[in-house]
Amino acid sequence: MQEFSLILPAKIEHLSLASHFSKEACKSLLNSSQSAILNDLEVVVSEAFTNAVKYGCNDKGKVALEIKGDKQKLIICMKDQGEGFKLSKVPEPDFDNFAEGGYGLFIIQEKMDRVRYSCFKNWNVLHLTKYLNKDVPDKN
Amino acid sequence: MLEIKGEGGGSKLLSLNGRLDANTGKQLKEKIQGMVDKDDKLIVLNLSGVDFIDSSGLGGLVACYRLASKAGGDIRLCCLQETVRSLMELTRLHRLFEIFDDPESAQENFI
Repeated sequence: MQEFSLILPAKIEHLSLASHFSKEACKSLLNSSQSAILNDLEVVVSEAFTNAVKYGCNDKGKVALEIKGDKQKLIICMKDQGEGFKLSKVPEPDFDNFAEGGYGLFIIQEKMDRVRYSCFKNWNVLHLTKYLNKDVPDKN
Repeated sequence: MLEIKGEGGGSKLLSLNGRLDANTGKQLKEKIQGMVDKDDKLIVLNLSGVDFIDSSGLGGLVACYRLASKAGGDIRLCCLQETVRSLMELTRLHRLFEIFDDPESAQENFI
């Protein structure tokens, strides 16, 4: 399984760098017929990095991004050193009132096949899996 | 980087180029605020050059809509790339905006 990793200060101005890194890493793990997946993964990384900086770290500490994959699946791990949160407590977006925010985790869950969140050695870890074959073992 | 370019000499048509995300959404909001302050509150955003958008970028568009709307104006969108359109539909925000295929149609009867 090929692996790529990047550690950045938890600052929103590094979002473009995180996105560019993840796009290039995912490109090398996917084939040319999987461009739709590549677009989805770029959005997912942008959402996860923004959430980690804005809500996890509050602009302090570091964010670590790891991307690995093989022919069966692609895994993205976004780690931050913030206070963390409970995945089950994040509310659904307010679709009826056209809210300005609150869509990030919803988009991640829609685009990925498996979403897990845990704490490990002072890192909060958002662990995201995309299965590249048609047979997805399970959704969440 | 997001490039915001006005077209047609004082026109209310704005062409956006680049990424619309947590960094650039704020830039767009400031631009729209400036226009609304000058009473330019009927605005068409040409998104043909926006090749990436995330929820923060969508939130920026909603914020712009609210700024214009609060001042008695409106914001229309045109020329959405497929990736932008599909994320707007996923978040149901396509129901908030009038969306057109080209700038001419968007500006028609927009007074």
